[in-house]
Order: sequence, then C-alpha cells, then structure tokens
Amino acid sequence: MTKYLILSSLLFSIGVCGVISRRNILIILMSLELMLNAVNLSLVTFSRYRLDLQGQIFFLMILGVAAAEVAVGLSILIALFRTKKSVDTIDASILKE
Amino acid sequence: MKDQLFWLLAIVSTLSAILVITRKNPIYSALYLIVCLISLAVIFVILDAVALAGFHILIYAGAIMVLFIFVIMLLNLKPEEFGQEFSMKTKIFIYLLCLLIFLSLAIPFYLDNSFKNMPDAQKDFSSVNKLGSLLFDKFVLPFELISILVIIAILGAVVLAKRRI
Repeated sequence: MTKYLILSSLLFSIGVCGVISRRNILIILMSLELMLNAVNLSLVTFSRYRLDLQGQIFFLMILGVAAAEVAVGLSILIALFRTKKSVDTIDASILKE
Repeated sequence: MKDQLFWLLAIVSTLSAILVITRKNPIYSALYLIVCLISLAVIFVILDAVALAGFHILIYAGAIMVLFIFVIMLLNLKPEEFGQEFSMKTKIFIYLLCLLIFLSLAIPFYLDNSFKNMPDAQKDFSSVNKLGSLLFDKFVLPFELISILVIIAILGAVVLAKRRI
C-alpha cells in the first residue's frame, strides 16, 4: 500500500510546484485540482486498507467541494479578466505596496 | 497483473501531471489533466472502488474539466497573452523546494512498515448500494450540506460573471 501513498504524495508535490511556479491563473487552478485528486487517492487507499467505507464518503464530499470551488474560481477569473484583460497574476497585484 | 498495471498507471499519471504544470497553452494543460484524472480513476478500480471511479470520471473529467475548457475557449487568449513566466533561476529553486516537500511526505511512508499488506476484500466491498445506504443513513448531514454548498456556488458563479448586476 505504500506505493499508492507515495504516488499520492508525488502528485501532491507536483501540484504544489504548479501552484507556486506558474503565473497563469488557469494553470494555478488546474494544479489545485491536481492536489485535490492526490488527496482523494490517499483517501481511497486508506479506505481500502481499513475496509471502511467512510473514506469513500469523504471522497464524495471532497468531489462536491472541488466542483463548487472550480465554478466560483472560474467566475472570479472571468470577472478579473474583464477588467484587467490579462490572466497573469502579476496584473492582479494592485494591493501590493 | 495488478502490480504491472499500477506501475504503468503511476508513470502515466506522473508524466501527465508534470506536463500539466509545464505547458504554456492552458488548453494543453487541461487535456493532460484529463489524462491524469482518467488514469487515477483506473487506479481507483484497482483499489476495488468501482463506484468511485465512475463518479470521478463523471464529475471531474466530465463536468469540471469541461467547464475549464469552456472558460479557456471563451477567454480566447492569443499566444502573446498567455502571461509571462518566472525566470529559470526562480523555477529551479521552486523545483528543489517541491522535491523537498515530496521527500518529506514520501520518506516516512517508505520507512513505515505498518502499511505493507492490503487485506483481502470481498467482491463488492464498495458498491453504489453500500455508498448510498451510508450516505442517507449515517452521513445524511454532510450530504445535505454539500447540496446547499453547490446551490450557493451556482448563485455565486452566476452573480460574479454577470456584466451588470
């Protein structure tokens, strides 16, 4: 079972890398989804290991929360794009300084 | 057989995840993310969670990624509008940082001996039947709260994306 957990941590760290190192907001949102999926994989692994279905119920909850978060995040992106005409995060930093 | 299939799927999902975060064009990233999600769903089937694999593909690859692709197409970015990136020096530093994060997560799992063997499961360890009976009996409160959350998210998305409120 360790191989499933190592794969989950690998995908999670790749997602973290994507969120930190990219400046395109769309790629950041997609790496966020990647991180959520890595956690989902570890949840299903533990649920299989303990033969308990609660992990899978939690998976369904995370799925619902991820769907809601993507909808709201993309609508914020559209509203931001309408004013700034850019998907670069550096153009959304008017609170800085 | 499950072993080789798992290694193949691990390589496919890792490669497509790396390709998600390194492409300039967001449409290519979205397509590689769909590949990664489908390979994760097959891993769920290996882990005897067949119902969850179906829900995963239906909701994640079928609804969320389609929403992503719609938004990317509606934004209609030209190649020069994709956004600049950080310099190579910053990126190398970030890659090393994420390698550190991965090692700090994976080494304790590798050294721990208590997760070595999976117990045997019956054929229908997880089915829609059993998930449904749990969802409506013991976990009915999270289920109802998720439905309220989705309604609020729909309202929020519609209000945020309107031109004139």
